[in-house]
This record gives sequence, C-alpha cells and structure tokens, in this order.
Amino acid sequence: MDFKNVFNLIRCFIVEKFKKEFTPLIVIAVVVPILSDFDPIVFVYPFLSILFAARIFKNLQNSQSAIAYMMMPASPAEKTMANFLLVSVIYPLVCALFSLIALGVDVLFFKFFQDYPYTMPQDIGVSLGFFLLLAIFSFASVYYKKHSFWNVCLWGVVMVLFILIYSGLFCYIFADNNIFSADLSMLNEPINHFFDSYPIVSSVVQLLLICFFWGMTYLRLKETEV
Amino acid sequence: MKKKTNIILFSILGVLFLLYNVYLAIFVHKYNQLPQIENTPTIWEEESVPESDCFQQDSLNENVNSISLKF
Repeated sequence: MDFKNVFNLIRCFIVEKFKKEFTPLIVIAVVVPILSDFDPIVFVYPFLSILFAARIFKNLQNSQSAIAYMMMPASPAEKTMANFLLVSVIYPLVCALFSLIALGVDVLFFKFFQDYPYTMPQDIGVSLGFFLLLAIFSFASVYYKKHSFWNVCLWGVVMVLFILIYSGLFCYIFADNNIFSADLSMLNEPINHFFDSYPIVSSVVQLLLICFFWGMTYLRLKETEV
Repeated sequence: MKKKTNIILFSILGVLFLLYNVYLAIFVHKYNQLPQIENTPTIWEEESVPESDCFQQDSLNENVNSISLKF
C-alpha cells in the first residue's frame, strides 16, 4: 500500500464530494444549533457522520460513475484505507470543528447572557460504538450501493423483531413456567452483567467488529464488478 | 457468481444463531432449576376480605340515626 496514493485519493474524494456532501452537511451543522436548542455535539455531529458513511461509496450507484471509480489508479486496499480515513477521522473532525464554531457563534451572539446549555467537548460521544456504527454503514454503502442507510435500518428492525419473537417462542416452549410475557428482559441480564464486569472484553469485541466490517468492505470492493 | 463476502457474512450469521440457541438453552435450563411457585393465586382468587372490614351502608345509616336521635 502506497500512502502517497492514499493521500492523493483523499484529496480527490474531498474535491469531488465537497460540493455535494460536505457543504450541505456543514450548513446543517452550523444552522441547526443556532436555530434550535439541540446540542450539536451530541445530536448533529454523530448523525451527520453516519449519513456521510452511508453514502461513502455513492460512486458505485450507476455504472458510468462506477467504471470511473474502479478505473482510478489505486488498489482496492488503498481506496478502502482512503475511505476509512475520510469516514472515521477527517469527516468527524470537520463536523466537530464546524459544530464548535456554530456553538461559539451561538453562545457569543444569541445566548451570551444565558446559562451555557451545551455539553463540553470532552463529552463528545467518540466511543468505539460510534466507530462501529460508521463501519457498519460504510460496509452497507458498498454492499447495497443504493439506499444503504434505510437498508441498514430495516435490517436492524428485522433482527430485533426476529430475536424477540424467536427467544419468546423458545422460552414459551421449553421453560417450565411461562416466561414469555413477564421475564423476557431477564435474557439480557447475564450478557449485560458480563460486559459490565469486564469492560475490556466489550471494547475488544467492538474493536474486532470494527476491523471485521472494514475488512468486509475491502473484500466487497475487491469483488465488485461493473 | 457466488461472492465471498456473502458466504462469510451468512456463515457468521449462522454460527451466531447457533451460539444464541446454545445460550438460550443454558438460560432456560438454569431458569427451570430455579424454585418455582406453583399455582400462584391470581388477584381474583386471593382470600376475600372479611365482611367486618368492609364499608357497610346499613351500619352507617344506623350510626347516623343514633346520632340524630341523640340530638
């Protein structure tokens, strides 16, 4: 992997995406906190980053732009690395920067005499779970190509419903007492207790999942045909 | 063409589903070993409240009459 190539790709993606992707989202990141009382760091910035991740492989949507994308003089690994840096580092930083600027403007000109209503930057939800979400949405964008955001949401709803119905039926059939309606929440307790007692295990699992989804993104990009 | 990512994804999902079944089986087995309360009476089957504790309109009327008589 040539890091000069990766750097050039990032520059190319930023120039290409700036008008359509960065500008509207930066405008939202600036305007929403000024017009409303939403905390930009908690509400706006993670949501925008996830939306951006869900559209990162937008070029693969139609065959013409997909051919141009595939013909770029870089290997799939370099493209994946460039997209990883864009999604996980550059875009959240840009969003956080503009959110902070908006917050400063908001406090200086509109809420100067009021109490400071926002969480401080050290409370930014930069956690492994957030990066896991970004990895999942990036993988979905190369997997589905179109409507990846809604596909992931749909998959989430289907999985939750399936797990609820399946585990409910399992307990209803095999448990001596009927715990179908009353104690289904007990199912999570051992897992939650385990992860609460060993937080390092939870972090390691999340890190592994992040690596897994970015690896799958690389594999999927490698086998994509136009 | 069968894509490698599909095979990896669905095999992992299958393994996770099997593991979840094992987890459920252990959970249900442990739940069945807990001491169970059999034939727990529902709220309607519980012992009825003795009549003496109930509010009775007749006794109230009698009391009211007695008070009025005292007047």
